[in-house]
Amino acid sequence: MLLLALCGSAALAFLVLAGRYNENAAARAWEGALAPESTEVYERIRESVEAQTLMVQMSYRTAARHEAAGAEGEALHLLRLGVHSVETGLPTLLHLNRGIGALSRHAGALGLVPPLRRATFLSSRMRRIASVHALVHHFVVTMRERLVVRLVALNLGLRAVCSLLISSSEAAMEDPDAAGWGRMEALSADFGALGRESLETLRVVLASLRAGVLARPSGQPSRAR
Amino acid sequence: MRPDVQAHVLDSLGDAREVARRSLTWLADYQAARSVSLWRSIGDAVSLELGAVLDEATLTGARRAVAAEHADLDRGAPVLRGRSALVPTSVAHCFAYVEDVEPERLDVETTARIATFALRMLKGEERPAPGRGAGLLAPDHRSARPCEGALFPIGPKAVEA
Repeated sequence: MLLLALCGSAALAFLVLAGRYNENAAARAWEGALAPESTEVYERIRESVEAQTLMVQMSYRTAARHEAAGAEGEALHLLRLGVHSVETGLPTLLHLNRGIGALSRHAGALGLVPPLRRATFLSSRMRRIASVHALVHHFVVTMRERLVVRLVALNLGLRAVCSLLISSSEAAMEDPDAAGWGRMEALSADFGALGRESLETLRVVLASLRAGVLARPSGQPSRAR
Repeated sequence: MRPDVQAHVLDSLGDAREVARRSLTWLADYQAARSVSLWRSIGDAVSLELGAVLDEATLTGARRAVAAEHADLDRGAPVLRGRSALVPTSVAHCFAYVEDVEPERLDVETTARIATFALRMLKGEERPAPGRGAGLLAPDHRSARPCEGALFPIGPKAVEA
């Protein structure tokens, strides 16, 4: 009985490790498919997204630092900046995800679309969304469906994180002593993580577009439908 | 990738100038500074890249400061004079000029990082479309005279001024 359990555990561990190895190898293969012009587009968007998320993260991180140092006025000043940064950053990321969805329709085949990982996020709300997404991810079959599910999860996560950030900030402005500074910092870190996950989705779609062009005999892009 | 598809993705994030403007606005608000501007110096010539410059006096002061502190700036060190500061970015020969900031509120690392982001966004905008960000970069970097398109007001202090 013990031997059977050991064999079962070993087989399960082997399958998990082999799956992870194959996933990494496939991801590397798709990485090589990214063309120079796609890299340029990706880098441009990456810098823009990082600038937006950096402003949000720095606002809340610095606010928590000032609060810990007893500088309540500075902390509230930074909270106001944080709310403004969230309000301007959210539409940008939602728009990017819509753009990725539209862009993916031009790809003949999609590369590996990974599920969101629970460990990437710090807030409990985002961890729950990532867990549900990971479950649904394995129930859908095609990469296109997985991409759609991922984009839906990213947008849901962005809306949830931003809504919580804004409501927590407003509550903190009314009563700084009762504010959850650590929670707000975690939510702002999740905002940054969601930005990185959106960029990862864009990278997969851009690599897929390039691979589709290379796969055609003439090497020419297809005509627009 | 087809140009129209590429343009669609780029448009999804708005134009680079808007992102740069947001970054500098955040920086000015964060430090409660009267103005933040990005400058470039090549040799002895100084030119404005992008800024929240309020008036001619600020413009002249910034240009003079960049020229006067050339030696220190070349060493990569931030220069603080009274309530004004020059902070080098990681983009070659470019500096953020922060005016009327409380020295204890000046976070050099944050200033350099945000200003670098803003500059990189601008550098990506090599050929601005007519009427959209046109004149954003000084046409002649040897000239100290900034172009009109490089100026924009930001923050409540700018409105008051």
